[in-house]
Amino acid sequence: MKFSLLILAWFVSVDASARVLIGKNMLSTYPLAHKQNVFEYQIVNIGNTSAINVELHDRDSFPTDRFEILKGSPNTKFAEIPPQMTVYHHVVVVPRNVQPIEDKNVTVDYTDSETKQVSHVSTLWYSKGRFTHYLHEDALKAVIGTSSKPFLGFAAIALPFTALSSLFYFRSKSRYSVTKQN
Amino acid sequence: MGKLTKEEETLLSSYSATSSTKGTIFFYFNALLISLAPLYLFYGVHQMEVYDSLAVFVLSAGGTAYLLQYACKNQKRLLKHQIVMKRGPAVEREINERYGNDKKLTIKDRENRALIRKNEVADSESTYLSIFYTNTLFLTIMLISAFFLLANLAPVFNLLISTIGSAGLVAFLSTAKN
Repeated sequence: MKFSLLILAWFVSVDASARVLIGKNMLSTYPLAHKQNVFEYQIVNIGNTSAINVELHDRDSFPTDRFEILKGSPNTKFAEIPPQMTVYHHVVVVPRNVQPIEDKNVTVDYTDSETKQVSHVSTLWYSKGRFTHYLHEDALKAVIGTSSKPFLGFAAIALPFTALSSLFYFRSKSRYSVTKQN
Repeated sequence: MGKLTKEEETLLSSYSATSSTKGTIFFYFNALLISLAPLYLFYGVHQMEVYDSLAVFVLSAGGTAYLLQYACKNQKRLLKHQIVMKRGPAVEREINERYGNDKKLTIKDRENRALIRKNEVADSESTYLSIFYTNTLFLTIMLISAFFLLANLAPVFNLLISTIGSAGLVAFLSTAKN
């Protein structure tokens, strides 16, 4: 079962025409410690004008004493998001320990291109009090691990007849081989 | 046309393209066994339940078994002639050592015994080698296609294409003239 974490928040402004929604989604199937976990941020402008100077902040979700950030940054900027457009941002992190870690608030600051009004969007309503449990791979071995049992069974069915055939062939070959003499 | 002697029948059988009933059963048994192995692998790795996938399993096993026994037969026919040529001197030497001092046997009888023995040796060796060659080739192609080339395909299609496709390729390669 695909583990999915979708955080969605929106900021409604009566005057601003640009309207941004932020989503955070874990693309990895399971949250695993000592393994690469991929997070996707989805920033959607559902307004009628462009959002400029869009800044994404999620540094608090990945403290460096608990995570190694392999690719991407939890803090990033987009110069412009046109109306009715979506931008994606990916971060690859490796949790250092098996532990539950609280999902922190993801925030986006943006400016409306026409009114120049600065707005703020957050996922606080959704993420507050939620924890992601980064598990050890062994804990999920029964679920996600490829057991060697099917391969051993496969070998037990396929190999004896094949190996015996080669054995009988080489035994007969060695018995009836003519040694070349100089 | 007169009735063939036993020696003539033996000589003819060594050049015959058809396999004996015993050999055909042997090939079918091997092919069926080898065709069942991938099913167990897919059952374990992709959690394909037997009851749900029965039709696919039967189709895969049947198609693969037929193609593999066909490949084995072709391969045996190709190998038998080569092996008869290679083992001839060694078999004749063995017959001479065994019956060399037997004064009751004429030279013709000794030649006939050597011919029969050569045919037996070539038949068994070509059977073993064709099974080994066909099985190894099929299993290698099947594993590579199932777990690398078609890894992202749905298990049902992966199973059918990797097993029947690999067996078909092996059967096609066995139709080579040399």
